[in-house]
Amino acid sequence: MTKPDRNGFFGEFGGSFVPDTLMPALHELEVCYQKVKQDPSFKMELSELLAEYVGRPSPLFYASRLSEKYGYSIYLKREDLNHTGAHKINNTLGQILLAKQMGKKRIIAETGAGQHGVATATVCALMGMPCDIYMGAEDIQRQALNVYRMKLLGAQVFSVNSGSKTLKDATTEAIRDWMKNVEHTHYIIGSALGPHPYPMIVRDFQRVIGKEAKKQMLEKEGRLPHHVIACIGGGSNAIGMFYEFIDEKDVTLLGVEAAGEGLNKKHAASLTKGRPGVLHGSLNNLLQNNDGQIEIAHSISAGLDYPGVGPELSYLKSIDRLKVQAVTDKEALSACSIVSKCEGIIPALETAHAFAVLSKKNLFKKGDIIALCVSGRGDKDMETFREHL
Amino acid sequence: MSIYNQDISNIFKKKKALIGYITLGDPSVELTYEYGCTLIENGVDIIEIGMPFSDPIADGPVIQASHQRALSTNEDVSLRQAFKLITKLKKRFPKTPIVIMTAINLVIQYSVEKCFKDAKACGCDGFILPDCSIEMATDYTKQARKAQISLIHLISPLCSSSRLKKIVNASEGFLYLISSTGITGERDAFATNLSHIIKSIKAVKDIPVAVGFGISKPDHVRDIYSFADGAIVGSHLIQVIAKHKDKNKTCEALKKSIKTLLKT
Repeated sequence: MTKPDRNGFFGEFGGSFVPDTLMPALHELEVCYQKVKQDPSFKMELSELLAEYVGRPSPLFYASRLSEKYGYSIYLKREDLNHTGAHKINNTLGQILLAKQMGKKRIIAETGAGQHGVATATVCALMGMPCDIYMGAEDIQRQALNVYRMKLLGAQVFSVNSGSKTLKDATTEAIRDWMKNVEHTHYIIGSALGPHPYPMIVRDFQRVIGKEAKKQMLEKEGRLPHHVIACIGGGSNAIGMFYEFIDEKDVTLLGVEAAGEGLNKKHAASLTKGRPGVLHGSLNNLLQNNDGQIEIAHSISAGLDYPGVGPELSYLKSIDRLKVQAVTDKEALSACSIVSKCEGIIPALETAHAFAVLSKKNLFKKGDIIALCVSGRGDKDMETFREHL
Repeated sequence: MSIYNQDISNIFKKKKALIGYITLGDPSVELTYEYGCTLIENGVDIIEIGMPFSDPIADGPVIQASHQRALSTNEDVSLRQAFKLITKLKKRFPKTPIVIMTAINLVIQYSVEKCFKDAKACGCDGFILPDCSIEMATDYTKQARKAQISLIHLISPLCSSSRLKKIVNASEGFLYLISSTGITGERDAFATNLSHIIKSIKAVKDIPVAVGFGISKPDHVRDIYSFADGAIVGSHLIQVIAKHKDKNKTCEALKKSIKTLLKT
């Protein structure tokens, strides 16, 4: 449980592959983080805000009709009930408190689906900090409502027109902004990605998901689940949900990637189909061509539409601790419809990928206990649902 | 100073060096060769071949756009192609040092050891890996030394003295001092402590220091020449190339730019 190593590596994955300009800021961030992590007043401020502002702990809900339908005991970790409707705020809240500690005056972030952008804009409003969000032009179109939300919260949203005009390009642009303004700006990265110490920090702020889920599961079932399931884009809800279970060898960790139009067509399944390489500051599994040019990922879900995945998940997959499934756009949409009608819960498209594995044969045995992370709610995806369902 | 890169050290021994950056394959590999020749013939002392990358984090909009143009031509713009280009340039200008500037992922995917070996075989003098911090560089330094390729590290004005020492010690050929924080591209202001940083560098090791990022005016070059060993020009040349469609006109314009920059 002590990973990463001194240089930020999880096995062969991770590190800090960034220009020299960013190294002082990354060092400062790490030193500050290691210090405040132990500081009782920081811990108290964070846990108070998580309780009073975010609404934690989020419930672990027994989904009885889904359980009956599939023949498993299915528990849902309701991150969709958090303030702003997704798990993203666990991280943004922690990071803005860090930024305050470091005396930074401005916040930047990248966003794909817009959930991380909204969560960042939200905590910036809460703390009265200026906030600039980078978002791919295509995502801006797909997630118009979230763009409006961010603006209403007082953030500026910058449209990124390079490359695939999605999360990958927004991340590149945010890093470039940070390079220019590193002395007074903190970059709140949205997933367990990027150069060390980000993957560790984001994981630690998201760890609360699995910590609560474990405790709640023990209270409800008196035992640990057979399987823990989460969807994987960059991997922040997944590593947050999985982390407390990594050392529990009897618990299967199952991550679900986006197979998009199919694994032989356009997809975003970097753990299933990628190779190790460096993107956005760390060595991860990436979708790339033979030369090392990054490929354009595809998923109907903007939040999974990223050609890489965080280093810790890349590592867990490489040592076979993490099992990975890939789910197509179609399967995710159909799962969304099932869960909505069965449980009265409309999941985000990202989360729908996690639900979709429940219908896959041979992954689970009758009566298995499953804990599934409902990373976000589907309000932002209504347009897509309306078009496709 | 480096023993295996006599060409690089010879340049700096004689005079202040002007280092010019061009992107491989923007607008075509053939024209990269032509423009490289034009630069060398008109006073550029060292050529930096920039490898187009889909997600360049250290580069400004001008070079990013140049990379995207190169990648969208469907021509091969891989390291293999860069090595071919260097072979050709070296045939014509055997004494002009040529270095490759690339995102580290391209080197990793080519296979690090083979990459430096093949680079050496074609006459390439060094590599600049802008997204490889000194903390990550140990293996790359080892492999580059084995192949007798200079690893030219970037150093920013924000660098602490302990890291500076590490970077200088790991560097061969010359050091690339970033003029100010941020990404590549034209700008008005440079960091004020550059000459002080150069003194700190030279106190560690006698290695030439070239300053880059945002150099576009004769004043910049004059200023930098007063305290550094060389100036690196990138975005400024790329803009000239992007502006002119016709080959001859571009060559003329590049010639004029170099002459203007060197007017002191």
